[in-house]
Amino acid sequence: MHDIIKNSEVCVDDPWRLLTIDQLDSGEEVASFSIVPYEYWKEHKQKLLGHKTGIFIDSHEIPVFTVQELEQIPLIIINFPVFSDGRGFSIARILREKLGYAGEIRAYGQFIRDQLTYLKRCGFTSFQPGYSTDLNEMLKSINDFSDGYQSDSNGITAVYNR
Amino acid sequence: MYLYNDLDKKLIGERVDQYREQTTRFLDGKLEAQHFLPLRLQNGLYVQRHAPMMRIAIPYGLLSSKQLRMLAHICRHYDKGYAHFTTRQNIQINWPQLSEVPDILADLAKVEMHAVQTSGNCIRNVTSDQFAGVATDEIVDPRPYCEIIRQWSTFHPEFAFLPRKFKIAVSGSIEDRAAIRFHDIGLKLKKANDGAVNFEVYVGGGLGRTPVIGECIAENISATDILTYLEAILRVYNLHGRRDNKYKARIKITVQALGIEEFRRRVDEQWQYIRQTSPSLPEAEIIRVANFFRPPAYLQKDELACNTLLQNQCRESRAFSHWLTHNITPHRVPGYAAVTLSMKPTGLPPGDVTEQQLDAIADIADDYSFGEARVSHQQNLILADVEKERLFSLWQKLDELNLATPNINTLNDSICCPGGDFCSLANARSIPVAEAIQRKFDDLDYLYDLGNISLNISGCMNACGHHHIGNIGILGVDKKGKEFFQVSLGGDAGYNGSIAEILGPSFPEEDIPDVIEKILQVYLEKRQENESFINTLLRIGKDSFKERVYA
Repeated sequence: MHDIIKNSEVCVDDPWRLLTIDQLDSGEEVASFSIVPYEYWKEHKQKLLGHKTGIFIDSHEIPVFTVQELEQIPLIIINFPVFSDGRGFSIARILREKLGYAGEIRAYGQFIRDQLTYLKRCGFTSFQPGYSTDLNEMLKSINDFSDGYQSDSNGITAVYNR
Repeated sequence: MYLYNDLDKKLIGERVDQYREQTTRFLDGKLEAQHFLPLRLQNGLYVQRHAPMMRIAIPYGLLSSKQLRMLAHICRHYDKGYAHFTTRQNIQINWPQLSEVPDILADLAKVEMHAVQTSGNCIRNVTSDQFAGVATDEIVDPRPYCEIIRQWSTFHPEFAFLPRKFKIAVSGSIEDRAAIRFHDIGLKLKKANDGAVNFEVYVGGGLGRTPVIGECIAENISATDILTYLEAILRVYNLHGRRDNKYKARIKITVQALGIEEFRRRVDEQWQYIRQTSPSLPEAEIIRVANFFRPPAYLQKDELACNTLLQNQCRESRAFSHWLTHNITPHRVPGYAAVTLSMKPTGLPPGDVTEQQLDAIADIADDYSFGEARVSHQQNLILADVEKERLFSLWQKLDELNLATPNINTLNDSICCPGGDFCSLANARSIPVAEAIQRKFDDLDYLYDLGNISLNISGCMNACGHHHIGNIGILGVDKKGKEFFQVSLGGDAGYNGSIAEILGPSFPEEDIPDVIEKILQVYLEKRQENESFINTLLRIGKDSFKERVYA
C-alpha cells in the first residue's frame, strides 16, 4: 500500500496495484484494483471490462477507447518517464475532452510538484510520484494558479468567453 | 496599448509568487538543479558565460513610457546599467543575481510586464510587425490577434513541456516585416471580399541548425477559429514531435518527417473535435481587444505644408536630410511619420541600450509619440506616431542621445546576436565583426549608394542573428579552436522566404570586411538601374561573387 494525492488531498493506503507485463505473463492474477498496461488491456478487454481494473498508459501511447468502454474503466494512469516529457498533458486532455472520460486520471512517475497545477488543469485528479517524497509538501504546489486564460475541466472558463 | 485587467494582474502576481517560492527551494537545496532548469527558463533566466542572463518579454514589441522607465530602473538597480534588445522583440539583461530575479519579476509586474515563457520548451513571446497600426500597406492590424494569442499561450497548461521551443509570428501587411515563414507557426492576416478576417497559416519554419521555410498548412482559417486551430497544431506537435534528440525536436522536423499532407491530416483530425468541445473565439471578444489598439488622438495636419517644411529643413541640414531619408517610415495618417531609433551606432554592440537612454526615450515617447514605443526584430526602437512638423526637434534630441545614426536598412543596420562575448553557446564573437564592418563602411554616400541590404551575423549555428535570412549572412564557426566566419548570400525574410547559400570556405575574422567589400564591388559593377542587391544577386547568381571573393 502506498499514499497518493487524490482530489487535492493526501490519501493514505491507495488500494490500486500496478502489474507489469512480466508479472502478467508469469500468470499473476488480475484481482480487483489491479492496473494493467494498455497493450495487455487491449488484448484482454472482454475479460477485464466491468471489473475494477485500471489501465496504465505510457507517454508514447495514444489510447483509443469507445465511450462504452470508458464508462466501465475506473482508473487510467498516465506515465511520466521523465518530468520533461509533456505528452501526458495532451493524453489527459484527449481523454477528458475528446472522449469525455469522467473517471480518475492519475499522473504516475517522474513528474514534479511544480507541474501539479498544470496537470490538474489538464484533467488529472490523482498523483502518484514514482519516487519517495513528502506528499504534503508536494500538495502545496497544486493551486499555484487560482485561475487561467484557457478553459479546463475544473470549471475555468476561457477568458474570451467570460 | 493593451492594459491588464484583474485576471491578468492576478495570474502574473501568482506567477511571481510561484517563482519566488521555487527560487527559495532551489537556494535551500530542496529543488534539484535539473528540475529548477525549466522553471527558471520559463521565467526568462538562463545561466550564461559570465552570469545569469534574464530575458524580459515585450509582447509583440509594444512598450509604454512607464515600462521603459521600469526597464531603466531594472538596468540600474539589478544590472550594470545597460540592456540588449533581441531579435525576437524581447530585452535581455546580462548581469542579474539569481536570488534577485523574483524581485525583478515583481517590479516588472508593477508595470504589466513579465518574463513568462521567454525561454524553455514552451510557446514563446508572440512577435509581429513593428509598424502595426500605422503602416501604409497594412491589411489587418495584427495587434489584437497578437494579444489574444498572448493570453491563450500564457500559462497554457498543456503546452509547457513541449519537445522544444515554439515561436509564433503574426503579420497583417503586404510586406512581411515579421519573418513569418521562419517561425514554428507563421500567421498572415487576410481580409475576404465580405470583410471577414482570415488567417493563412504556415507551419514548420525556422532557423537554427536546419533552416526551413514554413509551409502553408491552411489558407483560410477564420479569425474566430484561430485559437482552436493553433491548439490542434500544438497538440499534434506535443504528441508526435521528437523527444529523443534535441536537434531534431523542433516542429519543422516533425512536419518534414510526416510530410505536410499527413501533418495537415493529423491537425485536422484533432481540430475537428477541439472545435466541438472548445468554444470559438467570439467576434465580440476580438472587438473588445481591438478597442485597446484604437488610433491615438491624431491632430488634423496639412500633409503638403508638412512636406514643404521638411524640404526646407533638409536644405538647411544635410545630416537631418540623411536621417529623414533613412530612419523615417511613411504613416497612414497625413502629417505623421514613424521614426526608427537606430540602436546600431558604429562601435557599440547592435541592440544595446543604456539606462540613461531608456529613461530619455521614455520622456521623448511621452512628448512625441503618445507615450508609446515599439521594438523591431531588427533590434531597433520605433516611435510610431510622430508629427512631421516636430521631426526636426526630435532628430536633434535623438542625435544628442546617439540614437539618430542614419543607417536603417543599410548594410550597417546589421542584426547581430550577443555572440561569444556573452553567450556560452557561441563559437565566435559576432559583435567585433559587426563593428569592423561598420568601421570599414563608414562613408555614408557609399553606404546609401548600396541601398537596402540586410546583413545578419550569428555567433553560432543556433542562428539568433538570423544569418540564414540576411541578404548577406555571416556565421561564426569554430575551426580547430579558432574563430572563423562563413559567408552566405541570398537570404530573404519576407513572405517569399529564401535561405542564404554558403559562398565557400570560411574566413578569419580580420578578412571579413574585405570579403564584404569584394561582394559589394561585384554588385556595384553588375547592377542595373535602381536594382537592389538581392535582385542583382537573383539575376546574376552567386558565382560572380564567389569568383571575386576567392580569387
